[in-house]
Formats: sequence, C-alpha cells, structure tokens
Amino acid sequence: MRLKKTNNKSLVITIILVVILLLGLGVIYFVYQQDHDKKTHDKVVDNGVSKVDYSKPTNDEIQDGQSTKQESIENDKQSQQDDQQPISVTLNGLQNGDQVIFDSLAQIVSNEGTCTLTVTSGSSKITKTASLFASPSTSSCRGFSVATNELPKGTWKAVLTISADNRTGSATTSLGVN
Amino acid sequence: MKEILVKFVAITSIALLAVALSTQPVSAATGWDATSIIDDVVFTNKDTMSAADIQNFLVSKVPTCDTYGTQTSEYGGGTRAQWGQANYGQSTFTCLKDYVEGGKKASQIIYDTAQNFSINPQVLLVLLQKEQGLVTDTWPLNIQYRSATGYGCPDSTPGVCASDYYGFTNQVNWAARMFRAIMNDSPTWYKKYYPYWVNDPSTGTTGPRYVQYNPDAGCGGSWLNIANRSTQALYNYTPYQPNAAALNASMGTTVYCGAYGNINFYRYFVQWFGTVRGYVPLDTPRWMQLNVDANKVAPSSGTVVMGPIAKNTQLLFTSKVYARGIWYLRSDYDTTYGLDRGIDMSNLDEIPYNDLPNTTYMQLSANTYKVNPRTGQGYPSQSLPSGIQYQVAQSITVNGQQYYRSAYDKQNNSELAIPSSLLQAIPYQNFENPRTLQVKSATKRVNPLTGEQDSTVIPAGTQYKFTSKMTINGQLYYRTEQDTNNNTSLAILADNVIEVPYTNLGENSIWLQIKSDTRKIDDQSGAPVDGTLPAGTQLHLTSSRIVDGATYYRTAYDTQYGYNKVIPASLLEQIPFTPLDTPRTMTITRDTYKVDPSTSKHTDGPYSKGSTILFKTKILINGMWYFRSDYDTTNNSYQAISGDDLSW
Repeated sequence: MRLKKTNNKSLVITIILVVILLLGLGVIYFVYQQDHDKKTHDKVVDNGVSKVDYSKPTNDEIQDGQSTKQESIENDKQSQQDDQQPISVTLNGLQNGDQVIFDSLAQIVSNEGTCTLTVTSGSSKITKTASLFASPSTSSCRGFSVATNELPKGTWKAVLTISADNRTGSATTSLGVN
Repeated sequence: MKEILVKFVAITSIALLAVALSTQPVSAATGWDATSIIDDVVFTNKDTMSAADIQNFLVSKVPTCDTYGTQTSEYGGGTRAQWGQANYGQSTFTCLKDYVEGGKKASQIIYDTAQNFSINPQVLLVLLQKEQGLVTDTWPLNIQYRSATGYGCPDSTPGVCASDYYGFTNQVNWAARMFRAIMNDSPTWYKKYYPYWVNDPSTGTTGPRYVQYNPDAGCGGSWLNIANRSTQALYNYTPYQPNAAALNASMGTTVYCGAYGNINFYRYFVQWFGTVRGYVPLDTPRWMQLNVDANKVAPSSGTVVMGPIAKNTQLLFTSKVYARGIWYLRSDYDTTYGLDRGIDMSNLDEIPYNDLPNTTYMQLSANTYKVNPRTGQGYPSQSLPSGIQYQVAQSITVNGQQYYRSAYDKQNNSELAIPSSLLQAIPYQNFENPRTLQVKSATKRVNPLTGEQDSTVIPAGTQYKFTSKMTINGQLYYRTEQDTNNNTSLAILADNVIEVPYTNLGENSIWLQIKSDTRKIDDQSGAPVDGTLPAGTQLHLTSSRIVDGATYYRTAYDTQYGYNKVIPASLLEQIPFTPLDTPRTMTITRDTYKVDPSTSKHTDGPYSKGSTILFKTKILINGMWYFRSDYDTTNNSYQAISGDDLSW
C-alpha cells in the first residue's frame, strides 16, 4: 500500500514537470515566433552593395502595401469633407547666431496663399509677410527670419497665420532669444 | 531511471525558459540616417535599370494579378470585384506590371521619366510603393493610379488631391520633375530643407532645418543638419522624419505620432535595391595625389562638375563609389558636404616616398610614435623614446607636412614614418680623453650618419689625435682633432683604431735617469700618476712607444705588470759619469769588453786579461760600478768597463 502511494507521488511529480516542460516549450515557441517575425522585419540592413531584388514580395511588403492602400481608400472617402476646415499649421523657431528662423508647415497644397508672421517681445512687435508655396503634400511659407536685434532679447512669441483657398489657419510658438 | 527522467525534464525546462527569456529584439532600420536618407549619386543614377529590368521587377513583385477580383476582399463586401464595383465602380483591376497609359507600359513610363529627369528609376518605383502600394498590389484601384506618387495630395487629407496632378504619367512626371529641380537647385522651384551647408535664400541662413515627426504639430520634430540634395528633395516631398517609435516599428505597423514616408522609402530601397549609399566610406581615409590634370565629375553621369585640378594636387579622400564601371574617390570636403562628385581613381596615385640622396641617421627630439602619413593613422602603443636613432631613407610630404621613413620600413614596404619636425641631426660628442690613437689597418674616413666614405686611404699605423666621437647604430666612431676643428662629418670606425702600442725594448732596454722632479703620466689621459720621482732617479726602461713623434718609456715594473704609466723621453737623460777622486790605472782581470752602461751592450773590445787602462770617470747603474777610460772621458764616449772585471 505504501509502495503504491510512493509510485503515485512520483507519477504526480513527473506529470507536473512534463506540464512545466510543455509550458516552457510553449513560451519558447511564442518567443521564437516573435523573434522570427522581428527578424523578418529586420532584413532592412544596408550593407552597401547594390542589387535588384526580383524575388516575390515579403509578407511585410504585402502588409505594408495593403495598409498604404487602405489609407488611400479611407482618405478618398473622406474626400472633400475638410474643405471648410481650418488649415492645420505648425510653426517652429530656432535661433541661429544673430538670426531667428521660423519654419512652417501647412496641411494644404497651394501656391496661392499668404503667410503673416507676428513676433512680439515684451511690448515690441514686428510683423512679416511671405507667400505660400506648395510641395507635393504640404505647403510652406517662403521662410521667415528675424534678426535678433529687431526685437528685445528674451522670450519671443510668434504667431503665424496662413490664408489660402478661402481657408485660414494659424500656429504659435515661443522661444528664448539671447 | 525515474530520477534521470525527472532531472532531464527539470533541467530541460529551466534551460528552455532561460533561452526564451534571453531573446532580445533587434533594431528595425539599421543604417537609417535622417540627415542623409540617400546619397545623391544613387538618387540620380538613371541607368540602374532598363525598361525591361523594370518590367521584370514589377512582374516579380506581383507574380499573379487578381485582374478579375476573384479573391475575397480584404475590406469585406464579398469578392474584390464585388467590393470594387460597389465602392469605385470597377470590377477588374490592372496591376502595375500590366498598366498602360498613353500607349506606354508603366515600366516604360517609369524608365522614360527617369531618363528625362536623370533620376534613378528605383527611386520612382519605391515612391510608387510607399505612396500607394502599387508595386506589390495584386488588385489596384484606379484612384491609386490617379494619385500614384501622392503628388499634390495633402498629408492631412491625402484623398483631397489637386486634379492638376492626376494621372499615373502625370504623377510620376511631377515627382521626377520636382526631384530634378531640387537636385539642380533650380531658382524657379521654391523649396526648403536645404542642406545645412547651403544658404536658404528665404531666411538667409545655413545650418539645421526643422523636420516634423508627423503632420500633427503636437508630435514635435527636430532640427536636422541635412547633408545632401537628395535628402532635401525627399523632405520636400514628404516633410516628416520617423520618430524613435516609428524607427523601431516593423513595416506595416503604426505607432503614435509616427510618419512612415521617408523611413519606408529607405526600407523599400534597401530591401529591393541593396543600398542607399552610392558612396561608401573608405575603411581608411587616405591622402592621394593626381597623376594628371583631372576633373571632378558626377559619377553616375560622368558630367564634369569641377576642374581641371592640377596634376600632383593632394587631396584627402574619405568615400568612394563605383559607377559606370569606374571607381571614383570623393574628397573629404565633398563627403562632408554631401557633394555628388568624385575623381576617377585611375587619375590618382599614392603620394610617393622619395629616396633621400643618402640614407641618414637622425635622432628623435621628443617621444613619439610612427604614423602613416597617407592616412594619418598612428600607433601610440608603439612609442619611440626621445633620443632614439632612426635611419632615414625616404621622405614624403603630405598636406604640407614632411615625414621621414626609415630604411627598415622602406625595406619592409611599411607605410609608416615620423614627422621630420621630430627628427634632428645627431651631433658629435666630446671625446672624454682626447688622445692620439693609431689606425689598426688601412682604412678610409667615413660619415657615420650616411656611411659615405672619403676617397683617401689611411695606412695602417697612422696616428691621429681624436677629440670627438659619435655612436651610430651601436658603432662607435672617432673624429680627429683636425676634422673636429673643421667640423667635417667624417670619422674613423673605433673598431679600427687602437691605442698606440708599446714596443718591448728587449736587449735594447735602457737605464736612464729623471732630469728633474716629475711624475709618471697615464698614457690615455695624460694625467700625472703615482708619486714624484726626484731628479736623478734611475729607471730601467723596458718598453716604449712613440706618440706624435715623441717617445714615452715605461719602466720594467710597469711593463711587467701592464701598467699604462709612462715617462716622456724628454724628461729622461743618460745617467752621467762622475770623475774619480783620483784618476787610476787598473788591470783587466779577465777578457772583457767596453759596454754602454745604460744598456750593457758591448761597444768596444775585446780587451785581454792583464791589460792596464787609466780610468778617470765612473758611473753606478743598477748597483754596478762602471769605469770610463781617460780616452773615453776625454772623447765623452758613453762606454765603460764593468768594475767586476777590474782590479787595482
């Protein structure tokens, strides 16, 4: 009877260990698959040798192509809905020596628009204008730079307003100028 | 058995878990450089693919086109044909490999556009894929062709595209036109994102340009020092750079604030066409010189863009490119500024080492190490201490700096050398004991630094006074007093110079006496040694040597024991005879001879036993009395008869 009990205990331990082993193998498989997928993506290594890849597209390429296509479809459906929305504008400033450069980006494709930049420092203010120019997918103002001696040093606040195709948009930024 | 099984299962489980937990993800876009997405030379290489190549490529990416939309739609709504009909009124689909517009296949349109604008057709293929997924799409929609390159479509609302740009040919044409305009810095094409080294005319500034991470301004961005025109072109096309999350994300996945246009351009280009780098960095940047008057050219076209540059001009090259069957090297300046221009490698030579007129020893004036003048690489771990001698065989001048290469390095064809500014002439040193030495065998004077020989043969036995010396490569050289005074570079190998030898007088040994109080002198230094020898001291001299015409004697004692103590002959004199108190006639007691009492050599005789002679003077040498006859005294002949042979 005692002997039988001992055998049962060993059997239980063995079963538990086998379960642990199976779980371990499961974890290994999962991690391997993750890593394998990752490595598939990681084929993008520029080794400096030119070639032309005439092989079938990879799963990544197919998947990415489909995502791109889906975006096009969704955007096409969105279509004209944004026509009356304000133009999304970004504005950033950077002091480069004795110049402060203001970079802008407008989410519209238009060569016919105006940009008005107003920079204030304390009670001083300066306003500059420029025309808009189109890139393939955005537009930008034709560059703004303000000499650091045009306004008192300190915190400059800038507001850019873009008007194009009967729409407007604006953005603000501030930066320390010394 | 059971225990073994249990242990096996346990250990295996633990090991597998450990392996699983140790697996780490890897970066997803190795080689991506936001400041230099692609090299100009690659971007503008219009000859990478023929129209047939492009067609074959398109076929390879869509082995089977679902022309009739029989497959299940990814967007629901039944088959692709059904979905297409319902949404876009099209139930058949033309893949890019089959697409024809204006009587031309898409591959031909791409090729022709690439040729027209001198843009790499691979750039256009990647553009079509990243903008619309057209290259791999097995059932493309007409709207994808309409806005094939995304030209004129706002990023925030890509579906709202300007109709002026509609159409596949139109789209490809506009994209290539814009790329070319930016590559040419066309003044009529307004643009931004200038390379950092180019003045942006709208702001009047060089330096970094701001590039956003996403059309959403809240996602931020960073200021980039854009390195070249093609990167400028790509940012003008798609004005976003990937943020860190987008860089690490896999293709086809999206992350917060990510933008994929340019990173996907890079990924597709590298996956399909190998590399975005036309110029690859030289493993070792190198100074080289032109072997002819030569031009800088755009490697992809061969178009001259600068020059001619004069023959023998030296330039530092840091990158290279292989184009049209030719290797081109790009200068450090052009590499730094991302300029697409190189020099045909056949027009370049290594900067040569030139043989010096004579191989010359020099010495280091400071601690240093050898460097490769052509590359600037040094080897600090192999330091050379100040003062070490260096046999200079060749010189090389790189970028205005002269270097010397050793004979050893020349022989072993090593490129290493030492800046000439750290090498100095090796001076002669003062000879501690300037003295006269004698040439051992016939020889010639030599310049120790160069090994050059004088033409005059110096016979063996010639004596010189040497006053300076030099040790070169372990060999000691002595320079004569005359050469030292004249500051000539010639010297005699010390191995061929000996101390002036002593002559053993043998039977000519002589007794002399000190003229006046003096001391012996050291035969090398000339310094007095031992105690004072009073005037009249008799010395038995058994060896002598002649130095600079003067004779020096060495006593029997010093000769026997090899002491180099000498007495100049000028300080010695014959031991004088002294008068007898009373002249005396003495009888010869045995047959004998007159002798020189200082040498005991016979000078006259023989004189027979019983003969009688009148003697007037005497001399005592080495304890022996000698008597000189009246006749010899009168004639001052230095001869006498030993007192042992006389009686009175």
